[in-house]
Amino acid sequence: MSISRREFLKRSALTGGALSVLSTTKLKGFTKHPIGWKGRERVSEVASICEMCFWRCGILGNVDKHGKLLKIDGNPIHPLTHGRLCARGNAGHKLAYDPDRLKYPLMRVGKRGEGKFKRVTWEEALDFFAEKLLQIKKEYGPEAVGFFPHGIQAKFFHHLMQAYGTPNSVEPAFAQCRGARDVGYKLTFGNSIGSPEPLDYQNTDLMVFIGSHVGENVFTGQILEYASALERGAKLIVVDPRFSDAASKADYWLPIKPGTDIALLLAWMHVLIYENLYDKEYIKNNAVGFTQLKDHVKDYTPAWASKITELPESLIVETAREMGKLSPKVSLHPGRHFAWYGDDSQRARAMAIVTALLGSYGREGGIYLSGSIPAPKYPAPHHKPKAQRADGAGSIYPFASKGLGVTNGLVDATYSEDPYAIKAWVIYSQNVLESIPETWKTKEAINKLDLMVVVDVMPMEQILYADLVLPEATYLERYDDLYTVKNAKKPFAAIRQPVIDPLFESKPGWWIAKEMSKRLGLEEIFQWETIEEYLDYRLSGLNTTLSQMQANGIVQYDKGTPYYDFTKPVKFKTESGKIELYSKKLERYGFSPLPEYEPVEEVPKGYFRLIYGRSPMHSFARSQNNEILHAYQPENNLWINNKIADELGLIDGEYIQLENQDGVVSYKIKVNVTPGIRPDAVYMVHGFGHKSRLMKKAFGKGASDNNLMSKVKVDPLSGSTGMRVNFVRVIKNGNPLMVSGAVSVVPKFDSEKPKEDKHPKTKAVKKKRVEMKVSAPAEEEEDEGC
Amino acid sequence: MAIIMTNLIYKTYSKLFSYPDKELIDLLLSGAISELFKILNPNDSNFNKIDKWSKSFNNKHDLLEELQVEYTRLFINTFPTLPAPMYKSFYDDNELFGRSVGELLDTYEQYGFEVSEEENELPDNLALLLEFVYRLDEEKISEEKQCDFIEKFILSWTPKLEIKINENTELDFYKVLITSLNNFIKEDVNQSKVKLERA
Repeated sequence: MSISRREFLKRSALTGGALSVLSTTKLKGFTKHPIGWKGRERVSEVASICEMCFWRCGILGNVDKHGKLLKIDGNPIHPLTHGRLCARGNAGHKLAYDPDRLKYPLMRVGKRGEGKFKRVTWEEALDFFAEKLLQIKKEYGPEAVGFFPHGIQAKFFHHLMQAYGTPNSVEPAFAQCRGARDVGYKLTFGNSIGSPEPLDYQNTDLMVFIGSHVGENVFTGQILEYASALERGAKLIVVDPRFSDAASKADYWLPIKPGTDIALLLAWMHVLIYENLYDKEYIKNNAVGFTQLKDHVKDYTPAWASKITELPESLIVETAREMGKLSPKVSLHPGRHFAWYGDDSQRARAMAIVTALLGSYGREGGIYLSGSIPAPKYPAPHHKPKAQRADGAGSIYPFASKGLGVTNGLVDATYSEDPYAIKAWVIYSQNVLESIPETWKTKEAINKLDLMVVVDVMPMEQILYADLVLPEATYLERYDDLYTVKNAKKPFAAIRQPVIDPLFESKPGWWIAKEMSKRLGLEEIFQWETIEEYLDYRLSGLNTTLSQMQANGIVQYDKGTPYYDFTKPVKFKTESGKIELYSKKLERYGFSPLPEYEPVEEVPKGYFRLIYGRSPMHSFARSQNNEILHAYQPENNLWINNKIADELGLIDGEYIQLENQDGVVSYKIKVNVTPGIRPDAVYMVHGFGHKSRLMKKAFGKGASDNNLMSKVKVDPLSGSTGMRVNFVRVIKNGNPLMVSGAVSVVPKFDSEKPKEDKHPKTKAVKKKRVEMKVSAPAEEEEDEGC
Repeated sequence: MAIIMTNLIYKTYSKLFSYPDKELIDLLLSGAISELFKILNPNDSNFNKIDKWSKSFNNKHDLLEELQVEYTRLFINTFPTLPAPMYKSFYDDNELFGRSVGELLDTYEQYGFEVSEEENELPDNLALLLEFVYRLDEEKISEEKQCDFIEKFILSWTPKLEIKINENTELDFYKVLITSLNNFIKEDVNQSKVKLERA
């Protein structure tokens, strides 16, 4: 006969000692309420802003009675997205409930890279962090700490790091993304373009994309306006080596030879000027340097450009004429991820000059003007860091933003210990091993650190090298600083507020920074007790309060017409007060005052230029393991020209590998055989080919473009890392497939790290570091995503 | 004695599946846990292995750190994917805080309980579920209802957790614990059912 376990236990007895020890064990998991308790009251719909990418669209989080986020909808009153949300925004709840999200502070126990951590309390974690920072400050000075922030959430820590005294704050949004663009436009018009690009698609007659693959690279607001413009009959010119989604809708597709964009732009200028198609009145009244420009482009004829770009001369002429005919209602998209060939600031200058010739800047149908938001700014510390920057912003790269800095410059400085040793990195919501090219160098730089701290939501590979990992609350669980959008016809401010309570022990950025300020003796920079009080301070400038904002999340302004009034003199924020077609500033710093075409390295025989882009389903390399987004797009594929594929014997849908010029081999990637790409280039979507088996959905799916970028070409003006300078060849069944029996002229290397004797430029050479006084680029810049 | 013993076992398992702290180390080294396991599983020598292993450390700190590192790697975070999440919803809903958690929270509420503000774990964390059985027993909730809860919210997924732990750790500690837990709760539920049927 069976005896009940509970009955059995009746007969058993622990000794008094054991019973006593076990009985006194403390558990604290539950609170008992009186019978009839009905649970907490909760708001069922919370307005906030998305962070599944960097565009920060308006969202409404639907929450059940237990505080569970059920789904995310678009906020219908959002001025740009009007209630629409992309796939990533809809999948946001999967981030909050991802089993892999960082949950508690973790302290490294094993060696760097070993991945051995133990959970610690916030108090232990922050005490350790502060003690180390104070020690480094005492021994090496505050500049020995490098700060790698990303996004609006890192702002409070940015203030803290500034008060601590380090000048070394760097974001990939500059050197790996739109930095060179903003440098070029700022040199020309006196203003950076900013985000979202203020393109007047509502009134435009012609949209021009140079490499911009709108539709695949998704900002919902811009897509809506672009689609409406097409529907309205606006024309579209797309310059892209690939028949992109946008190219498929274009009136003109210019499949340009990669790296020759400046030649095309110079030829367009030639046609506009020499066929008298430019806006003479606009240029006469508002620009300087026209005569020099006219002389400069005299020989840059369409015939000249045709040979370089491999585009038909007639197509160059026709598209230039089309632009001239429809000016000023022409919106030339300034682009976003702009770090291509190392001549990027000058390419941006060329684009800005074409825009100026068309009279489109500050005009209806072209590029409208940014507004302002009268919210008082954070009273940033008065004692600005005294030390020289290590990243080269303002010295090696004279026009780089000192607000956003040069990530690769700081990696170089840490690696070479020039101009001084960097002893700590604080990485905040940035993935330094994915966002900064030349990963081998980043890893070697990390090895030189005494301290590496990562603040993040998810465990990216870099945590393996961290001494301390701090779990930040997701964007659905926290307040952030006020999000102000100046690039809207009616500028607006939006709040991010918690849709759900933070899970585990994740904490918002405000709390982390404020707690650290107490430990660093910098309490004075956080004069508000809570972030709610601080947000009320900012919103006071907008005549509203946080509690008034909480219902719908947005407050909007009408600043009037967002165009220049040319009935009055217009002053641009350049040195001359005019649009600078010819830049004396560039000349003064030893750079070409007018854009020049410099040939890029030719594709070696047997290889293809690797170009890359974005997908509407994924954000960078961070969403591939998201269950919903993975289901939509589990892997990337390789676009390869159909004639080349025939020659190589490749069949659409089969898997191959790629090997770059330094011998780096990719995971398998599916071939997309198409006539929609030039024969000298191959294309893939960025962010795939994750290396870890533990990332079960994303592991080994597709190839990583980043891993194949073992070299870069740095733009000397901005420090931006040109990344379209890598070449790959096709490997099938372990053997390289060669086009037309060609032989590689590029030396092969054994490891991911190029050998120094073969790549002298990778040596830790001392760089020219002259602190330059460059007034305009030294201004603080807001993070506006990438 | 019966009530004390039953809820003591669930309480002890809850403690064992919580993040290791000094109190747990003291419990392990006091011999109280091995004594309890000997009563529960007189023929299982695995507990002797754990006991021996625990006592093989030179000091409490090293033992604590060893357990904390393994617990962190298995149940909290590692790059890039957690080997053995300790949440019911992970197994039943394929995410954290899935649909089944709503039902669980309704059950907590039904008995007048709420996950305390001091507790930062999710409501369906194994340690919390085990603590809840202890609380039910303390509140003298019937054996039948306790068993319903155990079957529905614990036993439905802990065998899967056992597989994950066994696949992902070299350390005997959590392997032995999860096997013993599953054996215990299965037997507890089965025997209670038999008893109820007889009644």
